[in-house]
Amino acid sequence: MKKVVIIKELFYFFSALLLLACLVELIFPGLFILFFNLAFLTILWLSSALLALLYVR
Amino acid sequence: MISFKHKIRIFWLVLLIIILLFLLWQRVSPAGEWTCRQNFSADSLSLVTDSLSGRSCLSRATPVERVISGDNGPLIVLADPVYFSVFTPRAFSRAELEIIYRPHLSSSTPIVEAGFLADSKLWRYDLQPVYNLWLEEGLKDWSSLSMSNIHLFQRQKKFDEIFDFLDAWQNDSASICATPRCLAVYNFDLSAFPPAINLEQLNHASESLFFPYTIRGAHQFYFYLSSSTLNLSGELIDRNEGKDKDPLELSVYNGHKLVASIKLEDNGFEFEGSGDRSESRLFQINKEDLTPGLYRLDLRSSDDVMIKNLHLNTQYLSALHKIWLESTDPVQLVTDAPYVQVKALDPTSLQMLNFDDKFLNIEEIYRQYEVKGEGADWYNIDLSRGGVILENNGVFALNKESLLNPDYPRLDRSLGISAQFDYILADYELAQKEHNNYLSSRLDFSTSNFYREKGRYNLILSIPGLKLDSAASGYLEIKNIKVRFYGNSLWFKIRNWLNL
Repeated sequence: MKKVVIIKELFYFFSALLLLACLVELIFPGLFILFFNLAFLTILWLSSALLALLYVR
Repeated sequence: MISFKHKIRIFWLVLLIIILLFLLWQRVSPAGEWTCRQNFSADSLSLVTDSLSGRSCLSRATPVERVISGDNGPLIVLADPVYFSVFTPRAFSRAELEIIYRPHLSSSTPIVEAGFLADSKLWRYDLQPVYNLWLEEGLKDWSSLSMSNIHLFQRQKKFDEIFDFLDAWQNDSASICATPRCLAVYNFDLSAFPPAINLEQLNHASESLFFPYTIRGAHQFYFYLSSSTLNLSGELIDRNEGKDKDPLELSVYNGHKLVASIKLEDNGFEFEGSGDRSESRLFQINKEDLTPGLYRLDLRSSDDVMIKNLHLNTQYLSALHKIWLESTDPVQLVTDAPYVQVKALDPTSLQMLNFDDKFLNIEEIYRQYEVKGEGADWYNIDLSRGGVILENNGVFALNKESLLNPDYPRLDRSLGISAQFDYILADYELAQKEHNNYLSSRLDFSTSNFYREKGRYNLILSIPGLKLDSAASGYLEIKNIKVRFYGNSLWFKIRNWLNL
């Protein structure tokens, strides 16, 4: 049960983080990608989405 | 009792808020400082961590074919110039650029300069010296005096203080040496001193000059007025190839003083980017009560603007450093520099250039060619048609009778330590020695008015004469670039708002 909660929350977290990235880049271009690797974050988000598809009903 | 689900949600929400606050903190930079550092000789561990973290604040060097960057070696610059961009979260008023490098340069590439793009319209960079081979190593036999970063080199020692030399030069340069051109300068402003030509010897037989060639883009001209009246006229044509409006600003300066200016806004009749040429528009400046003397004309415009039928009531008119000729007719000019760089922008402009009976075949468009002359006071340039950009460190004029260059010779690759020089005056900070023959140079820029787009300043590294196809010219290894920006702190701004 805890595993499912963690997977769901991970997906929410990375989704929120990517949304924040888009907003920051829209308002202050270049600021978010200076500190975070967007490609790496997208891979993490996709992985969390895949895990959610596999383990969350 | 908080459930596990809520605990974990609160945890990531707090994490997200911390990230947001961190980004806002960086954006505001409350301390008023920002440092961008790029180590090109980083070890493999830091390369792995770098690939997982965000982008570097310093972009990759471009064009990529002009540099070699190994996995953990220094950045090797093979050709001039290379460009970087530096990200800053906000605009700053001052920048301190520090470069650690190892030069492998020769007398044909003696100078390394770096700077930021100051004017995007004129594509003008504010350059400062990084390394000058002549000043670092080439003047060991000369007597030298230094005062902070000001250096005076004398072929034969005559002065014990730099002040004495400047005082003597200001009051009576003829007593120091026969011609003012015995003094070469590097990065030293002598605008408050007499010009490098004897104005009393200028001939004023003719008081009207017609410049028959159409020129394109921004230009600067020197001219000499023998009367107190200025009559300037010409015609403007807008090519409408770019997407922006194309105004033209004409400014006339006497020294640093602006004496006349006009601005012609884009007429807006044609669609920008359509390539439809506008009708000719006449412009003129008529000004009286001027002091006879040397003047500078600044034509500030985009590359879409062409100027033809330029008339001036002077005998002397010379384009400074660059002239972009758009005429289809044959062109004949003279220049006072012993070389010329030429670039054709149109296949129909490919041709044979005659530089004082030295021929240069311009075979490719957008490629910069160079031809050198030998030991003359002025050199003829013959072209079968325009459509080319001519550049050098001197001036271009219609003929030797209208040639006028009041600037002191610059100690650079074209002149070197010429036999004509008895004195060299430079504002230059000698490079600091580091380990393994690396050198470190620090440059200071006032960045308040520098061009900044999408949070990035444009940085250039220039080594004039360094070319990919010239093995003898050398290369430059760069180990580290650090740019530290300074501006007002948040505390300073708050105190200003509250008038404390």
